[in-house]
Amino acid sequence: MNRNGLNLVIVDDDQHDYEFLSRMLEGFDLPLKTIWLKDGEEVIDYLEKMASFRDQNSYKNVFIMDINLPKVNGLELIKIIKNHCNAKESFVIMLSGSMSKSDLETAEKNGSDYFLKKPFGKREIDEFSNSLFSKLSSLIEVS
Amino acid sequence: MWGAATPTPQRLEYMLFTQPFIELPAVIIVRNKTQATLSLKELKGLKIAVISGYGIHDYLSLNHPEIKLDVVSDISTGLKKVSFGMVDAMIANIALATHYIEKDGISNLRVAGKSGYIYKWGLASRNDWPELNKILQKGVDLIDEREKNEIYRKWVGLKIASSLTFKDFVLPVLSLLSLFAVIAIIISNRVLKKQVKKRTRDLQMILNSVGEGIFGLDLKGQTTFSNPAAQKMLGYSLEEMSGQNQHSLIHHTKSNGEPYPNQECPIYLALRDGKTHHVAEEIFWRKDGTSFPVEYVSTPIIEDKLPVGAVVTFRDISKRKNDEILLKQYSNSLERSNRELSSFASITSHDLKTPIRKIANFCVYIDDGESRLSDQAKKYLSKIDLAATHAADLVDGILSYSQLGEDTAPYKKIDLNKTILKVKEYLEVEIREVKGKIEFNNLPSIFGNELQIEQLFENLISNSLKYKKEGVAPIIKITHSEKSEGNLQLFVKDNGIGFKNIYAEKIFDPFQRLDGDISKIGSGLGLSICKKIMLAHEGDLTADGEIGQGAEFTLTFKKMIENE
Repeated sequence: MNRNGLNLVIVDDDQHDYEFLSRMLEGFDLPLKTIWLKDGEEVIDYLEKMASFRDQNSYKNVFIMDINLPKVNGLELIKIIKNHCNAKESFVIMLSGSMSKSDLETAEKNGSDYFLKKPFGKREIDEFSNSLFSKLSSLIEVS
Repeated sequence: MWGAATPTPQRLEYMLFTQPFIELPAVIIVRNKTQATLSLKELKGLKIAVISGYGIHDYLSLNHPEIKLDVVSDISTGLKKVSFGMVDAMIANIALATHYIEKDGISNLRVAGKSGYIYKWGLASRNDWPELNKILQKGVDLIDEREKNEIYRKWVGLKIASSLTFKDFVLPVLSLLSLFAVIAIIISNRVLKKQVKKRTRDLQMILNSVGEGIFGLDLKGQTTFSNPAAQKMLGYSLEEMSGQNQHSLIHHTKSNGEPYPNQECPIYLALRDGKTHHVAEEIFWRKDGTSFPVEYVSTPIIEDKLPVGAVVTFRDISKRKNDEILLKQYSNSLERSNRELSSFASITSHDLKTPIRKIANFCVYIDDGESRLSDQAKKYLSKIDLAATHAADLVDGILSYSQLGEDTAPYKKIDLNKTILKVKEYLEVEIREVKGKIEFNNLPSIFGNELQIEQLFENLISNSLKYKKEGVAPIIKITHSEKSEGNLQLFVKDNGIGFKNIYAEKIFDPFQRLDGDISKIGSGLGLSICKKIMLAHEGDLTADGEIGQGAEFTLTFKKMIENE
């Protein structure tokens, strides 16, 4: 088990977006264990399961989460996640199609650690990829 | 009206006169012991009393300067002076003299002869009442010559120059005066009656024709009269209403079903406090037990500073109330439909954006630099990418345009220098790509919605960057001027391709493009959004352009609130 790797939890109900993101992550060549969850309920289940294995699990949890999710809104989920894990154990990256300022503020207030706009077109994809890569790399180094 | 008056020039200014119905001579009055019959000729050198201001006074001083006049203030004084020998004689009209001799009980006087001056008496009336004069004249005309002579002979007599005593004059003259008075009263009564009849008819016509209900109340609050409109609206006939307590008949219950006590009724309050009471909305009850909303005014009738009754005018406001309800419904449904439209636009754009993004992004993954694709495939792929980008821009535009009205964030003071710096940061990449420059210096602060003002400048600047001249680095200058009326103007000027000034208004229309260049296609809403933002800030946005010379946008902020 890679002690310095990350548990990367992708929370998105959109399969295409998940595929898009996971292909990008493949290219990163970082020690990542990727899990795909489709909605808030699955996240809550996951958090409960994770809590019972907390002692053995030294992986740091990084949530990459869409803001628009069925059942439980992404912004609400941030609070739930942050309540379950202490700050060192979890890192939340919010994804949003539109960089709505009110969403951004709420996300930050609820405890989101990072915010990325879903990329559109080549230039944004490159930027997004670079930002995500360096953020994940830094998290791996710290842990 | 005046019973017996002589027309003098002064009186003619404000009075009308009938033809004289009687002519009275001015006579010479002396003491009893003067036996001779006298005329004016014999009075030369004697001291004669005349009443100041009377016709005879003017006549004598003008035509007989040889006579010494003792001008007295009234006839009684003059007569007394003759009686006591203080003057030799007095000249006055026979009727007046007779009356006062009798009244003052002077017994030592007699009429010694005519003076030659004659009072011609007619009936005088106000000259703004010409009908009255005509009527009076008719009355006077009825008295024929023979009757006139008879009246004169009977009541005044012609015992002048004989030893007639004044006592003989008193009764006839007084009777004559009474006769005039009676005639005058009868005539003026007839005129008044006619006037009253006309006024009554006019009032009746007004009462009958107005659309408002009108009824009168006495001090007890009972109905004294009502007009047809009131009867029609209330369903009661005049007979059914008269004498009834108006409040308990039509105003007994409030619109919420509670009884309406007499004491609270504003209509009755007018009877007590003598003030006019206006009520915008209450209900009146019809005879059939139904009610209708009314607006009414209760006006007290005041006599000698005390209310003696009231007049109530009222109007059925059902239609107005219905209209108000309808208007409210329309406005609600309009608001709802606007809201729906806006949220429809917002949801649609949001949901549309995702598939468009995927199209564009997977295009990038297909052409990831490894040249497995044919050149033609690459070419079409880039067109798909371009179209997807355009679609996304449109959707973004619609989204922000539709959301403009929803942002109700409170206005605050915004330092425009900071705003421009922020916008420069957002547009960093675009600016760098074209080596653009944004120049501004010491911009003022304005009062507004921060996000919208940022969007405003972002759109204006990116518009200028987009429409730059080929091969020329765009320079965007932002300046300002404060106008005397407190308005603030900002100018955003570029050195781009400009536009024909005939399109200066058109460029703000949604989805208007002046340039066919496909690479410059945007949302088509950028400037529309700017205009909408400026209008929302009670300001305005105008454009000025010249082909090849660039464009200048003028932002006018109407309300400049300082230090808040």
